[in-house]
Amino acid sequence: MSRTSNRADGDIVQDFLSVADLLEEPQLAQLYAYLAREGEATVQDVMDDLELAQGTAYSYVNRLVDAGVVDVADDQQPRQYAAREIDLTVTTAAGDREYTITPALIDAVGRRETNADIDTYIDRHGVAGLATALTYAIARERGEVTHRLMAEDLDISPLAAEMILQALRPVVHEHYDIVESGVGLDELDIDDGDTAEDA
Amino acid sequence: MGQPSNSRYQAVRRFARRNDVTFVLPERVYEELTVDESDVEEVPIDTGIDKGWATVAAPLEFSEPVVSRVMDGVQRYIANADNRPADEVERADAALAALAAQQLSAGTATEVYIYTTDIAAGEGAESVLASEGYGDSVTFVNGFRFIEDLIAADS
Repeated sequence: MSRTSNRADGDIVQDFLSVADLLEEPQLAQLYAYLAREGEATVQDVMDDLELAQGTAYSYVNRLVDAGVVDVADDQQPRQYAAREIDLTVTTAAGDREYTITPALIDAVGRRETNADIDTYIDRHGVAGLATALTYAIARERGEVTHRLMAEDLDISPLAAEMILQALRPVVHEHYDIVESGVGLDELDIDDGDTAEDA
Repeated sequence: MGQPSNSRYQAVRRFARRNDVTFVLPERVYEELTVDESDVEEVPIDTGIDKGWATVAAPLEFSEPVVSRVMDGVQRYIANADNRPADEVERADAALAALAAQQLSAGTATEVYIYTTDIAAGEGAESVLASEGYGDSVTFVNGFRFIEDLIAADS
């Protein structure tokens, strides 16, 4: 193997470690997800929108730039920062399973700061568990799986499954193109006390 | 929906009261909501039942052919969506559609709205009940959209 390909391997490992850091630190994940959503933003925007103190905002942005997951998009003052796309596929040694770490997962981890259900779920099942739950959340919104099947597969209660699926639903709709199925309130024609059923 | 103090719970309660709607839960679904769960402190659904805007349906009558056909059909529908064997699919997922079939065939309801957050269960119910000739009588209400709309309308 040549030196250059070794260096490329090193870059990949570095990318992986940077992303691993993001997943370990919800504040960084939240900031990354924010920049990915906004396209470009200044430190002032970050301070305003994420309610961070100036020192904290600068320190987080610089850490993301150093980690290589955020670029300076425009060097003129005030500097604009933009998220680099992360799409990292991890494959098991046996090659039988692979998982892609996507901006959606990073976003989900970042929401741990503001969402108690996501926070509790990570405490119990780890970021790896959350990644699995996110896979189910996407499949559920696509009409491929129900919360009960998830509960059965993962040996958790249907209620616990429903709670994390609900918490992850906004992440799914933000990052994936999903046509909403079923009707909402507007299409309901209720005037005569019809039977309604609920799950 | 969460606890009774929660805005989503309140919105659903108000909707039921204003429109004189009673939400009917299949037994299996009720059992899930009342299971002893360390994550959940109290049982919000019982409050709704006490106040009269939610009720638990009588056991499903599987001796009625249409009830068991719909039950099996929805289980198969959900299983197909994820390439699983149908017997892996929880019967609670299909119980909603089976209850609808029971009420429609018995004539205790002429129109049924099925509220669920599981797209596969809602679409499965619509599809299977349509194949039984109840296509015009059944509406799948997306539980999330419904509650989001209620909250938006209230604010």
